[in-house]
Amino acid sequence: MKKDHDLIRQFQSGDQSAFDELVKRHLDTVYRFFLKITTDEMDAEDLAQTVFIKCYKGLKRFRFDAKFTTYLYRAKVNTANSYLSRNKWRNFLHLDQTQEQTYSKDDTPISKSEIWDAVAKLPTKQRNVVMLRLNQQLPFKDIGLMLNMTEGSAKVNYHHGINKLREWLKDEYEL
Amino acid sequence: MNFDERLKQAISVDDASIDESRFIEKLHDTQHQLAIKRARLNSSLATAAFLMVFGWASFSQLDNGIYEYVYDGLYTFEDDYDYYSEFDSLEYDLYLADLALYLLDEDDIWEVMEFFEEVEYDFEINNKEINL
Repeated sequence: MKKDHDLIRQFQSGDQSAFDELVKRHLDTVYRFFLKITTDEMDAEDLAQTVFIKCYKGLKRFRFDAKFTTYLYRAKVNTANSYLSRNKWRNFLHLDQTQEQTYSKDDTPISKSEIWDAVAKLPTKQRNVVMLRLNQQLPFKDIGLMLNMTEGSAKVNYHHGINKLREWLKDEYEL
Repeated sequence: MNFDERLKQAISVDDASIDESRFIEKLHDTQHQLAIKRARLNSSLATAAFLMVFGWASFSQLDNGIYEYVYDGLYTFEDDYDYYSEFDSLEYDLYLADLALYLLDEDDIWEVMEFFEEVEYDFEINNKEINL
Protein backbone atom coordinates (compact mmCIF):
# COMPACT_ATOMS: atom_id res chain seq x y z
CA MET A 1 0.00 0.00 0.00
CA LYS A 2 1.37 3.37 -1.02
CA LYS A 3 2.08 5.99 1.63
CA ASP A 4 0.18 9.27 1.67
CA HIS A 5 3.29 11.18 0.62
CA ASP A 6 3.75 8.93 -2.43
CA LEU A 7 0.17 9.57 -3.48
CA ILE A 8 0.67 13.32 -3.05
CA ARG A 9 3.80 13.17 -5.22
CA GLN A 10 1.82 11.34 -7.89
CA PHE A 11 -0.96 13.93 -7.63
CA GLN A 12 1.57 16.75 -7.94
CA SER A 13 2.87 15.20 -11.13
CA GLY A 14 -0.66 15.27 -12.56
CA ASP A 15 -2.20 11.94 -11.57
CA GLN A 16 -5.80 12.71 -10.55
CA SER A 17 -6.48 9.12 -9.50
CA ALA A 18 -3.84 9.48 -6.76
CA PHE A 19 -5.89 12.26 -5.22
CA ASP A 20 -9.04 10.12 -5.44
CA GLU A 21 -7.17 7.34 -3.65
CA LEU A 22 -6.16 9.79 -0.92
CA VAL A 23 -9.78 10.90 -0.55
CA LYS A 24 -11.02 7.31 -0.29
CA ARG A 25 -8.43 6.58 2.36
CA HIS A 26 -9.38 9.50 4.63
CA LEU A 27 -13.01 10.10 3.75
CA ASP A 28 -14.45 8.09 6.60
CA THR A 29 -12.47 9.86 9.34
CA VAL A 30 -13.21 13.29 7.88
CA TYR A 31 -16.90 12.53 7.50
CA ARG A 32 -17.19 11.17 11.07
CA PHE A 33 -15.34 14.23 12.41
CA PHE A 34 -17.98 16.53 10.95
CA LEU A 35 -20.85 14.22 11.77
CA LYS A 36 -19.96 14.72 15.43
CA ILE A 37 -20.09 18.48 15.03
CA THR A 38 -23.18 18.86 12.89
CA THR A 39 -26.69 17.62 13.43
CA ASP A 40 -27.23 16.95 9.75
CA GLU A 41 -25.58 14.34 7.53
CA MET A 42 -25.76 16.63 4.52
CA ASP A 43 -23.91 19.36 6.40
CA ALA A 44 -21.25 16.85 7.37
CA GLU A 45 -20.87 15.78 3.76
CA ASP A 46 -20.65 19.39 2.55
CA LEU A 47 -17.99 20.15 5.16
CA ALA A 48 -16.05 17.06 4.12
CA GLN A 49 -16.24 18.28 0.52
CA THR A 50 -14.89 21.66 1.62
CA VAL A 51 -11.95 19.99 3.36
CA PHE A 52 -11.03 17.90 0.34
CA ILE A 53 -11.35 20.87 -1.99
CA LYS A 54 -8.95 22.75 0.30
CA CYS A 55 -6.60 19.79 0.04
CA TYR A 56 -7.01 19.69 -3.73
CA LYS A 57 -5.96 23.33 -3.95
CA GLY A 58 -3.25 23.14 -1.29
CA LEU A 59 -1.58 19.81 -2.02
CA LYS A 60 -0.10 21.12 -5.25
CA ARG A 61 2.21 23.18 -3.01
CA PHE A 62 2.64 20.55 -0.27
CA ARG A 63 6.27 20.54 0.93
CA PHE A 64 6.38 17.18 2.75
CA ASP A 65 7.55 18.79 6.01
CA ALA A 66 4.71 17.19 7.95
CA LYS A 67 2.43 14.17 7.77
CA PHE A 68 -0.61 14.47 5.54
CA THR A 69 -2.82 13.62 8.52
CA THR A 70 -1.52 16.71 10.36
CA TYR A 71 -2.33 18.82 7.31
CA LEU A 72 -5.76 17.20 7.15
CA TYR A 73 -6.44 17.85 10.87
CA ARG A 74 -5.63 21.53 10.40
CA ALA A 75 -7.95 21.73 7.41
CA LYS A 76 -10.68 20.00 9.41
CA VAL A 77 -10.24 22.30 12.42
CA ASN A 78 -10.30 25.43 10.25
CA THR A 79 -13.39 24.27 8.38
CA ALA A 80 -15.12 23.33 11.64
CA ASN A 81 -14.27 26.75 13.09
CA SER A 82 -15.83 28.48 10.09
CA TYR A 83 -18.91 26.31 10.42
CA LEU A 84 -19.26 26.97 14.15
CA SER A 85 -18.85 30.71 13.80
CA ARG A 86 -21.38 30.72 10.95
CA ASN A 87 -23.78 28.79 13.18
CA LYS A 88 -23.15 31.19 16.04
CA TRP A 89 -24.37 34.09 13.89
CA ARG A 90 -27.29 32.03 12.61
CA ASN A 91 -28.36 31.31 16.17
CA PHE A 92 -27.84 34.92 17.15
CA LEU A 93 -30.14 36.03 14.34
CA HIS A 94 -32.59 33.20 15.24
CA LEU A 95 -32.57 31.86 11.69
CA ASP A 96 -32.60 28.29 12.89
CA GLN A 97 -35.36 27.72 15.40
CA THR A 98 -35.28 23.93 15.56
CA GLN A 99 -34.33 22.77 19.04
CA GLU A 100 -33.41 19.28 20.09
CA GLN A 101 -35.27 17.78 23.02
CA THR A 102 -33.34 18.38 26.23
CA TYR A 103 -33.53 16.84 29.68
CA SER A 104 -32.63 18.28 33.02
CA LYS A 105 -31.61 15.13 34.78
CA ASP A 106 -28.23 13.81 35.67
CA ASP A 107 -26.59 11.53 33.09
CA THR A 108 -29.05 12.45 30.36
CA PRO A 109 -27.35 13.21 27.04
CA ILE A 110 -26.48 16.85 26.56
CA SER A 111 -27.76 18.35 23.35
CA LYS A 112 -25.09 18.14 20.65
CA SER A 113 -25.97 21.51 19.17
CA GLU A 114 -25.76 23.16 22.59
CA ILE A 115 -22.32 21.69 23.13
CA TRP A 116 -20.99 23.04 19.82
CA ASP A 117 -22.73 26.39 20.31
CA ALA A 118 -20.89 26.65 23.60
CA VAL A 119 -17.60 25.47 22.04
CA ALA A 120 -18.00 28.16 19.37
CA LYS A 121 -17.95 30.80 22.11
CA LEU A 122 -14.55 29.66 23.45
CA PRO A 123 -11.36 31.55 22.55
CA THR A 124 -9.65 30.09 19.46
CA LYS A 125 -6.91 28.05 21.17
CA GLN A 126 -9.27 26.55 23.73
CA ARG A 127 -11.85 25.87 21.05
CA ASN A 128 -9.38 24.03 18.80
CA VAL A 129 -8.01 21.89 21.63
CA VAL A 130 -11.46 21.04 22.99
CA MET A 131 -12.69 20.22 19.49
CA LEU A 132 -9.86 17.80 18.78
CA ARG A 133 -9.95 16.22 22.22
CA LEU A 134 -13.71 15.71 22.35
CA ASN A 135 -14.12 14.76 18.73
CA GLN A 136 -11.09 12.60 18.08
CA GLN A 137 -9.95 11.69 21.61
CA LEU A 138 -6.41 12.54 20.55
CA PRO A 139 -3.57 12.59 23.10
CA PHE A 140 -2.51 16.08 24.20
CA LYS A 141 0.92 15.52 22.67
CA ASP A 142 -0.59 15.02 19.20
CA ILE A 143 -2.98 17.92 19.66
CA GLY A 144 -0.02 20.13 20.59
CA LEU A 145 1.85 19.04 17.44
CA MET A 146 -1.15 19.74 15.24
CA LEU A 147 -1.89 23.14 16.70
CA ASN A 148 1.73 24.29 17.11
CA MET A 149 1.72 24.34 20.90
CA THR A 150 3.33 22.34 23.69
CA GLU A 151 1.65 19.39 25.33
CA GLY A 152 1.34 21.41 28.56
CA SER A 153 -0.27 24.31 26.78
CA ALA A 154 -2.76 21.93 25.13
CA LYS A 155 -3.67 20.50 28.56
CA VAL A 156 -4.11 23.93 30.11
CA ASN A 157 -6.24 25.17 27.23
CA TYR A 158 -8.40 22.07 27.41
CA HIS A 159 -8.84 22.43 31.16
CA HIS A 160 -9.91 26.08 30.85
CA GLY A 161 -12.19 25.30 27.91
CA ILE A 162 -13.95 22.42 29.64
CA ASN A 163 -14.46 24.48 32.79
CA LYS A 164 -16.10 27.23 30.77
CA LEU A 165 -18.36 24.72 29.01
CA ARG A 166 -19.37 23.29 32.37
CA GLU A 167 -20.11 26.78 33.63
CA TRP A 168 -22.24 27.65 30.61
CA LEU A 169 -24.15 24.35 30.50
CA LYS A 170 -24.72 23.85 34.21
CA ASP A 171 -27.94 25.86 34.25
CA GLU A 172 -29.66 23.42 31.91
CA TYR A 173 -28.08 20.18 33.07
CA GLU A 174 -27.15 18.86 36.46
CA LEU A 175 -23.37 19.04 36.22
CA MET B 1 -20.05 9.84 34.69
CA ASN B 2 -17.80 12.86 34.58
CA PHE B 3 -18.43 15.92 32.44
CA ASP B 4 -15.90 15.01 29.71
CA GLU B 5 -17.45 11.60 29.25
CA ARG B 6 -20.93 13.07 29.01
CA LEU B 7 -19.78 15.45 26.31
CA LYS B 8 -18.08 12.65 24.38
CA GLN B 9 -21.17 10.48 24.70
CA ALA B 10 -23.39 13.33 23.51
CA ILE B 11 -21.44 13.82 20.31
CA SER B 12 -20.63 10.19 19.59
CA VAL B 13 -21.73 8.69 16.31
CA ASP B 14 -22.58 5.01 16.27
CA ASP B 15 -22.90 4.11 12.65
CA ALA B 16 -21.84 6.43 9.97
CA SER B 17 -21.31 5.52 6.40
CA ILE B 18 -21.00 7.60 3.30
CA ASP B 19 -21.41 6.65 -0.32
CA GLU B 20 -17.79 6.87 -1.41
CA SER B 21 -18.31 6.83 -5.16
CA ARG B 22 -21.09 9.45 -5.03
CA PHE B 23 -18.90 11.66 -2.82
CA ILE B 24 -15.97 11.42 -5.25
CA GLU B 25 -18.24 12.08 -8.20
CA LYS B 26 -19.50 15.23 -6.47
CA LEU B 27 -15.91 16.18 -5.70
CA HIS B 28 -14.99 15.83 -9.38
CA ASP B 29 -17.88 18.12 -10.30
CA THR B 30 -16.65 20.73 -7.84
CA GLN B 31 -13.09 20.39 -9.17
CA HIS B 32 -14.41 20.85 -12.70
CA GLN B 33 -16.31 23.99 -11.64
CA LEU B 34 -13.12 25.28 -10.02
CA ALA B 35 -11.15 24.67 -13.20
CA ILE B 36 -13.78 26.56 -15.23
CA LYS B 37 -13.74 29.44 -12.77
CA ARG B 38 -9.94 29.58 -12.88
CA ALA B 39 -9.95 29.53 -16.69
CA ARG B 40 -12.53 32.33 -16.76
CA LEU B 41 -10.49 34.36 -14.30
CA ASN B 42 -7.30 33.89 -16.33
CA SER B 43 -9.08 34.82 -19.53
CA SER B 44 -10.63 37.92 -17.91
CA LEU B 45 -7.25 38.99 -16.57
CA ALA B 46 -5.60 38.47 -19.95
CA THR B 47 -8.35 40.48 -21.67
CA ALA B 48 -8.10 43.25 -19.10
CA ALA B 49 -4.31 43.38 -19.49
CA PHE B 50 -4.61 43.47 -23.29
CA LEU B 51 -7.22 46.25 -23.16
CA MET B 52 -5.07 48.25 -20.77
CA VAL B 53 -1.96 47.94 -22.95
CA PHE B 54 -3.92 48.58 -26.17
CA GLY B 55 -5.78 51.50 -24.60
CA TRP B 56 -2.61 53.05 -23.29
CA ALA B 57 -0.85 52.60 -26.63
CA SER B 58 -3.78 54.19 -28.48
CA PHE B 59 -3.98 57.04 -26.03
CA SER B 60 -0.28 57.75 -26.30
CA GLN B 61 -0.60 57.80 -30.11
CA LEU B 62 -3.62 60.09 -30.05
CA ASP B 63 -1.92 62.85 -28.08
CA ASN B 64 -2.69 66.57 -28.45
CA GLY B 65 -0.94 66.82 -31.83
CA ILE B 66 -4.18 66.74 -33.78
CA TYR B 67 -5.68 69.54 -31.70
CA GLU B 68 -2.58 71.66 -32.10
CA TYR B 69 -2.79 71.15 -35.85
CA VAL B 70 -6.43 72.28 -35.91
CA TYR B 71 -5.81 75.28 -33.69
CA ASP B 72 -2.76 76.30 -35.68
CA GLY B 73 -4.78 76.19 -38.89
CA LEU B 74 -7.60 78.23 -37.41
CA TYR B 75 -5.99 80.81 -35.23
CA THR B 76 -2.39 81.42 -36.12
CA PHE B 77 -0.97 83.47 -38.90
CA GLU B 78 1.82 81.50 -40.45
CA ASP B 79 4.08 82.85 -43.12
CA ASP B 80 7.66 82.04 -43.86
CA TYR B 81 8.21 85.09 -45.99
CA ASP B 82 10.98 87.15 -44.45
CA TYR B 83 10.12 90.73 -45.25
CA TYR B 84 12.97 92.30 -43.33
CA SER B 85 15.66 90.21 -44.93
CA GLU B 86 14.02 90.92 -48.30
CA PHE B 87 13.94 94.68 -47.71
CA ASP B 88 17.36 94.77 -46.19
CA SER B 89 19.00 92.82 -48.90
CA LEU B 90 21.27 94.72 -51.24
CA GLU B 91 19.88 92.81 -54.19
CA TYR B 92 16.37 94.09 -53.49
CA ASP B 93 17.57 97.67 -53.13
CA LEU B 94 19.37 97.45 -56.44
CA TYR B 95 16.25 95.96 -57.99
CA LEU B 96 14.17 98.90 -56.74
CA ALA B 97 16.77 101.40 -57.99
CA ASP B 98 16.78 99.74 -61.43
CA LEU B 99 12.97 99.95 -61.58
CA ALA B 100 13.07 103.63 -60.55
CA LEU B 101 15.73 104.44 -63.16
CA TYR B 102 13.68 102.63 -65.80
CA LEU B 103 10.64 104.73 -64.91
CA LEU B 104 12.78 107.92 -64.98
CA ASP B 105 14.00 106.96 -68.43
CA GLU B 106 10.37 106.95 -69.46
CA ASP B 107 10.19 110.63 -68.30
CA ASP B 108 7.34 110.03 -65.95
CA ILE B 109 8.36 111.37 -62.58
CA TRP B 110 4.88 110.83 -61.09
CA GLU B 111 5.01 107.23 -61.95
CA VAL B 112 8.29 106.95 -60.08
CA MET B 113 6.75 108.71 -57.08
CA GLU B 114 3.76 106.35 -57.19
CA PHE B 115 6.12 103.45 -57.41
CA PHE B 116 7.99 104.47 -54.28
CA GLU B 117 4.75 105.20 -52.47
CA GLU B 118 3.48 101.76 -53.39
CA VAL B 119 6.64 100.12 -52.14
CA GLU B 120 6.36 102.02 -48.86
CA TYR B 121 2.66 101.25 -48.62
CA ASP B 122 3.27 97.55 -49.17
CA PHE B 123 5.96 97.63 -46.55
CA GLU B 124 3.58 99.16 -43.99
CA ILE B 125 0.85 96.65 -44.78
CA ASN B 126 3.22 93.71 -44.51
CA ASN B 127 4.76 95.10 -41.36
CA LYS B 128 1.31 95.30 -39.73
CA GLU B 129 0.55 91.72 -40.70
CA ILE B 130 3.79 90.57 -39.17
CA ASN B 131 2.98 92.36 -35.94
CA LEU B 132 -0.48 90.82 -35.68
